[in-house]
Amino acid sequence: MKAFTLGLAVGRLVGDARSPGTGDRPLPENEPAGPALPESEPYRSLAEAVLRGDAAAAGGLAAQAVREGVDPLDIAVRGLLKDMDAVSDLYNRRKAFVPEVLLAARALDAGLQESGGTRDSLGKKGVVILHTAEGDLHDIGKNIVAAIVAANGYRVIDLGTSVETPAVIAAIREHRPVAVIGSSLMTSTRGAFLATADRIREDGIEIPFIVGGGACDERFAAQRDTVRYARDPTALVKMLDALPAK
Amino acid sequence: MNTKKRIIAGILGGRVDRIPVWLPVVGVTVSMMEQARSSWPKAHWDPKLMAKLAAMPWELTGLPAVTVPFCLSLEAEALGCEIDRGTLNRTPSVKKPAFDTPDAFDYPENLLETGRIPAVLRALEILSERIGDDIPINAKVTGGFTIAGHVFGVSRFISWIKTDPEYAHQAVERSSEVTLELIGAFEDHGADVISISDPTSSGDLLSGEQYREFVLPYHRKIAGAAKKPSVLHICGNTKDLLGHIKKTGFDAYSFEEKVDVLTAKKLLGDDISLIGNIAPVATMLQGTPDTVTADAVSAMQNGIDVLSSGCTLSPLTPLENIRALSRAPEHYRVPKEPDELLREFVRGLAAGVEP
Repeated sequence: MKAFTLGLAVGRLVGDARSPGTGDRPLPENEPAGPALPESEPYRSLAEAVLRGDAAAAGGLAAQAVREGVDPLDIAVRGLLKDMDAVSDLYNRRKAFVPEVLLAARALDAGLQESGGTRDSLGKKGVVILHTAEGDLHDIGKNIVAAIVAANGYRVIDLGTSVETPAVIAAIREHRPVAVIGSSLMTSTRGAFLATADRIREDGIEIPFIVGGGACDERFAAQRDTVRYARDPTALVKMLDALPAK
Repeated sequence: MNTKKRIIAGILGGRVDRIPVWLPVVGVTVSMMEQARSSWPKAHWDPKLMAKLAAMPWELTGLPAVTVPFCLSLEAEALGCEIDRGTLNRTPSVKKPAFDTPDAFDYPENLLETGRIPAVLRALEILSERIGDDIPINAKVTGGFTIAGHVFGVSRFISWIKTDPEYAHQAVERSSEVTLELIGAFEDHGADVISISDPTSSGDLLSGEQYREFVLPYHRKIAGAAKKPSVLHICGNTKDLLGHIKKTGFDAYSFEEKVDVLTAKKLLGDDISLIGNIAPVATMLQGTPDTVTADAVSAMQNGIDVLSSGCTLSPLTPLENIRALSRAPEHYRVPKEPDELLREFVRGLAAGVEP
């Protein structure tokens, strides 16, 4: 059977829409195909349901697979998560946008729930703590990061928006994460990350602090040697995967 | 040519003696608040303090940028969202959505008397009377897509694009009614320019096709309703949207450095003036007067019609950088002769247009 690759799946995800100017372009022939989707059933159907953002189908297929005796961990790892990976790749390449990622995350959760798991149960690679800077109430970027990081095997403790330093410190002590992730869209709030980084160091905690979002850049992160900048969710996952094992 | 005429001419794509500098977004800083003895958050609610602070970029740095209100939450607050009042260097923002579904959307009967809107209307009158002959008074109105994100919750509202497209349309349509009523009121109270900020409809969140389907019809309606010169501001990477923004009917489009001027010029042509695109963080906040001037000259050489920061200035932006922006056109002469125009054109080609 011909491999069902990411490139072939794109048209379904964005509805094969064409627009004038530089709008949605079909993938050119020589575009790398990205991670392949699973070929065998039920994993392929599960992955497709997540890619379409079809929560009902993802839930139904997962429940059916469980009834047929498929290992719930396989349902997640070989089916549902494979596809969140594909969606995050598409997002970074501007082939999928926020609505598609939100829907895929919802379908992922529906599939996980029906197969008796949660995102948390899959967090084999470790815990990360996620928050937006104190004063910053924008949560859309953080929510996208949460979905993509979770889909890559991390258990995400989402502290929410406008999180003060003491809450971050308390969460580090409680959950022993591999990294702290901060998102800021307002330059007037990003300074909170430096204060948090200083406090983490003063408390004698050694942990990488990765920041991102419109208000952050390399230059901002360079102000503290424990702070690093990730330009998009894929870069963030690569940084997390490259951390020394604890 | 006086400053006001030059800016209006730039927005409308007319003849100018030099490139105008102006902001369709907010340009007040903490040091301006100190000098004006008018600070956030109080100035968001008090019309006299608001007018005093709004005039500060002009009075303190020579940047003819007079904009009210200072934030994007004016409309959401009037519609019942819970608001965080913000601080000295942080604008008020929405804490909680107001409605679960478009059916629940409750349009206030007396919108113009709700929340901070009366304060903004009064501030416009004060500014118009005080400096309105010299400087265009800019009224900033939030676009319907962004208001919808505020009142329904961004994640929930944006998901409707895929799950309930009809809901998404209803949400933007109802929210856009607020934008439309405010435009009329702001014009009646002294606004010379209407600037629509709609950051949630950015290409960082939506595809070009999604913009065409869920935003363009409402932007067209808004542009058609504005009697005064109108500007659309959408930050982030909007390259995929430009082919559609061309069709909105706004007089000018304001964008940030993620879109380069040559690409914008190529895709928008002469249908809509270009405002921008000096980086608000990398250049205006973190740069020096020299880097501001260099970026500004490059933007002018590449064909920007009105020189501006690509987005709202950080309240911590150094005043000397703002002064450098307002003086940058002194370093550039608008080409008038055919051979000068040809040289500009060749320079543009040499700088390279992104495919």
